[in-house]
Amino acid sequence: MPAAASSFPKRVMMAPARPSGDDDSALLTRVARGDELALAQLYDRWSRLVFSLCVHILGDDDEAEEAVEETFWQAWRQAARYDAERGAVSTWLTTIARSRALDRLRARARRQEQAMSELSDTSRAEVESTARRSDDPALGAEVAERRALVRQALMQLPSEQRDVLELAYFRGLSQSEIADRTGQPLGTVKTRVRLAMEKLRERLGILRERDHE
Amino acid sequence: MSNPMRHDEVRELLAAQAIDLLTPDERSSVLQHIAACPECSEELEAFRATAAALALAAPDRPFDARRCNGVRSRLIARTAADREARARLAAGQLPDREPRSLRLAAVADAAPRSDRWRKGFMLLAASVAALLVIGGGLLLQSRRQLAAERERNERQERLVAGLTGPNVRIIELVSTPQGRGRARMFWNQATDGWTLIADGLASPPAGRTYQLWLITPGDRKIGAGVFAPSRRGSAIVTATYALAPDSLGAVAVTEEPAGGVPSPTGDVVLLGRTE
Repeated sequence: MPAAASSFPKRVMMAPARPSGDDDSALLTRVARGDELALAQLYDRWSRLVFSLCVHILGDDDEAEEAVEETFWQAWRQAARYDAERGAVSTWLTTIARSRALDRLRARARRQEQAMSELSDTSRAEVESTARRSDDPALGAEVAERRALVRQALMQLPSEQRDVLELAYFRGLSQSEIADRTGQPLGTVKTRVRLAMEKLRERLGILRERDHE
Repeated sequence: MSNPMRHDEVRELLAAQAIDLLTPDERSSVLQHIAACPECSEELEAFRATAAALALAAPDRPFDARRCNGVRSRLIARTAADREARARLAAGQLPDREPRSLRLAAVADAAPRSDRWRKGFMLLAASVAALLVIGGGLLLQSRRQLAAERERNERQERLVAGLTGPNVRIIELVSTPQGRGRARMFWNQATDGWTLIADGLASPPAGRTYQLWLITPGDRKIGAGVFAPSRRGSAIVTATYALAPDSLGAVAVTEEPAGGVPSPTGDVVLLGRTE
């Protein structure tokens, strides 16, 4: 465990981005008061990021579209619960989006077990093929840069650690499911998760410190 | 959990907890420990932030305009309806009032099936948004076609504008024992615009049509147009009529002779009350 671990600021060190982060909080306050146009503004700002995440998890545009709607609907219903101390609005939205998309993925897996392995292969190919993309006009240069930094940090991990993180984060698999899927002992999977997260945190933390210089 | 986990045992699990990987027992032990350990709590927050950043590792995918606008329209319609329902609850009003007349009482028994309705409405709203965008995506070869497309787009944009905004009041219509389907009326009080979006309707018999009515609390029935549903049973009806905010008691759809009638004579097939 690196000694520097607890020295990171409590606030999210690698928020997805903030073309106008302060405005996001103000918008969410309006949403909590029942202002649907504020929700529409948040939607205009973040729907592309949320859709990208949902479609990557689900591998299906139609289901991703429904997950996007569920995400912003949940944001509408739970806006008052948002805690700015725990991270940016965009982080809060992507956390909701991941949960909604994984719920759908698990429901689908229950219906159709075989779909899982095909999806995993497809999405990995997608990561590889798009890792070098840098254009991202709709979300602005800042988001594109942060995307690139996260992808770069991920690509620097040993492939077995990266695979474990992808199966956990984008597929929602448990550690024992990952062990079954990869044929690795459970203890090895646990170690890889921990090492991968520590390295990623360190790299993203360094990147953030550099951003603030 | 008979034995609380030790500090160093918990630290080993924080990364996995941040990415939702622990078993329920492990999770419970970790949460119990961090409630009393600021160091682990802070460490977990740092790992959570790391996990959240993984969202950015998903490849960027444009949210195509048709889908994006469709979700946006549905969200605005849903949130506007929700806001109004909350306001009504806050004002201590029940969703359904006592019927104003025997005729309305007879048809008010039709139970709203909100789930089915929601799916139907989502499909319809999506098709409205799709219509809005289809024109824009076409390759147009002549200026004449371009002008026609522009006009159609403007019409569709006006339609969507009529469904959204802070001054739009939404009235849900449910089917009566004599009817089928469901509908939502969007009353834009800023523009006096009325937009009814219906689906699941049966085709009216030959020589008959559906007619839309705005009914005042004093039981005055204002004809707002005749219409026939599409083959798939959906319909969009727009009208302009100035009515004071407190002057609407109900919205109804009746089945009438082709061409419509000055005041309703046939069965009520859809009905929605206000207030």
